[in-house]
Amino acid sequence: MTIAFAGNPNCGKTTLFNAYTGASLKVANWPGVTVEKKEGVYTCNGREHTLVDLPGMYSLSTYTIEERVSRQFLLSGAADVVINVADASCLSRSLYLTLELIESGRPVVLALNMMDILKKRGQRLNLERLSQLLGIPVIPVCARRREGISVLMKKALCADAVRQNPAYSFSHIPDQERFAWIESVVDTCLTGCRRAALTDRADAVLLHSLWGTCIFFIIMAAVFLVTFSLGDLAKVPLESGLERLYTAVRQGLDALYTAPWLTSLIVDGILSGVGGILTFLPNIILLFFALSLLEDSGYMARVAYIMDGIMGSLGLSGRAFLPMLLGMGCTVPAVMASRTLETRRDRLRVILITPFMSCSARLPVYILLAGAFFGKYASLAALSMYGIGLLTAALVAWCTKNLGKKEKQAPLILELPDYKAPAPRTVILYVWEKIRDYLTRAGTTIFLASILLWILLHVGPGGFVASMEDSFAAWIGQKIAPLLAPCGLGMWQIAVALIAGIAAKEVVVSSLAVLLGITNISSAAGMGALRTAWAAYGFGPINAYALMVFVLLYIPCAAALATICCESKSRLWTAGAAALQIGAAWIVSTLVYQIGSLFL
Amino acid sequence: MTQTEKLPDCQVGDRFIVSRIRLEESLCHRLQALGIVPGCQIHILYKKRSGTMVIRCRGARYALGAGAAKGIFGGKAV
Repeated sequence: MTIAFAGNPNCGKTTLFNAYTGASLKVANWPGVTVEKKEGVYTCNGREHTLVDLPGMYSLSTYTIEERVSRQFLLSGAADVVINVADASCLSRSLYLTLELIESGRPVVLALNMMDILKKRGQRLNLERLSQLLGIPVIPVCARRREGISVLMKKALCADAVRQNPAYSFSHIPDQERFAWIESVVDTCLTGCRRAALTDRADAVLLHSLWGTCIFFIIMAAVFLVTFSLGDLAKVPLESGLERLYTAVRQGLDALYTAPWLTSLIVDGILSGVGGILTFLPNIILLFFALSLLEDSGYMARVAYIMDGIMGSLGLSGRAFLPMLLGMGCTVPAVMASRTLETRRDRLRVILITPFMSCSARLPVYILLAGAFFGKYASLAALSMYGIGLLTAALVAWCTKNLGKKEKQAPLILELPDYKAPAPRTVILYVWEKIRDYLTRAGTTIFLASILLWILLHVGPGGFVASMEDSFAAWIGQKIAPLLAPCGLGMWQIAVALIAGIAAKEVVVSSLAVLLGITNISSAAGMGALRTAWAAYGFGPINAYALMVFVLLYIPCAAALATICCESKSRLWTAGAAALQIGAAWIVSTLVYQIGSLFL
Repeated sequence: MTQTEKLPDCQVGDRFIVSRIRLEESLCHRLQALGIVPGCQIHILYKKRSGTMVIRCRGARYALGAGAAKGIFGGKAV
């Protein structure tokens, strides 16, 4: 059987899907997390069933791209049974889609999620009466705690038993009167007095007309400062462990009379390159832990309301800020989240500006350069990158406001969920997935990039070279370096590192380690060696800051570029976006260097 | 209770009964799916100077931009 999970956004569909299939698809407490259809397998009594997690929708009349995905699937008849997941604490709104699903002709089972919230509010629901009135089975569940899920699936799998009772048809109720009918049903089945929620009290502060925006920026600044400062503390044992590893490996290879070139490839190439970015794992963990708390608490959706005024002046609704905020984690899901925007023009504009929001992969670059050149102001220097990224995104959005076909700007309409304590399981799974992605990238892209870079640095037209200056990499870098000179980055090594960074932004750090032959580059000694090596070229703090800005703004990694191409459905547009990003990086870093040089 | 007031004319704490919605068809369908239809009651929770507001309707909270709010007509509930 094929069983589809359909329902309003943020009602627990993906949490249920994960519970049945063992998947770890992303869940969070804001509407618009799931933007594409996902399939999984559920095995029961030796038989495999296909489960389909659909993006949330409020009705079969669709408004955004991801809702169209759900509608097309549901109306295609591919689903044998539809599990309509509904938020029990918001029954009046949820039942509108329920009626439409029943009328679509597919067998429907209503899974009432978040029953625990109803209980906390002091309310009670007569499930039997609700089932009689709707003509379908109604099963209470608590997806987070995995309560009621086996009963739900048993009901869903008995397809014959869930056929809609033909006595119940809603087609005679006009659209305008449906909610009146739904209200009468809810009044019949729901009893108890709704107690004032924590959400109301929290919103009184967090959505304050004056302080709300300030609180948001303070929260984000705190997230990044904690990422830098606590992360740096946690890095110390990793760095000393890696230092011991480098020494042990080098000694071990020497003891085996390994050829010097092979020792150099392993230690100066692979270990320096991969190890150089592994030490930033604590910073990455802290960043995603903080972002996960924000997402799962329910605060994320409020950010759209808080930023709506500012985004409105840029010709976008507050909802467009959510993909941008996601971009501080990773550009790939952030670009995909643009599907929640209503018009193509808004989607393209958001896809264009989202890469300017500094993703987590750039974090190692900031920490390295800021740590090496800015001493006690390192955290501030790194934090300023997020501000510059935000300002650049805003400037590009403002410039593109009046370009292209004039489409009426879609106004903000967004549900604000109740605040919830972030579920430990959700947070842990999310952070673990990010750690796994980071380590996988280290073991694949960065590993291969480090090897390739080492080869390009040690091989020239005549074979192995004694000096890197005669290598293929140097030749390529020397062609590009003059273009970077106005930015204060006119060194072939920097050009090579920036090119390598197209594979993955962390590779910029690995490349610098391999290029300069510095093992454990993120340690205090490594940063000192970096500073000394570049001082010979006149490279100082302002050059380092210009390099940080360039890394912030130039084209995102290959995976992000591929996603942009897929979402925009245009290679030409993607090429144009990449050209804009390189241009913006060059202009802003040139301004930073040229103006900064007057003072430093 | 007048029926020609617009939702943005209300203040925080007001309860507003919707009498008609004058917006593009797609927006009307969207609001209808959320339960914001003629006859429903909206409670204004927060409001910004730009006109963006947070409302409660049928037990759920929504952030509503000025562009959507200005098309919702009705009157304050007594």
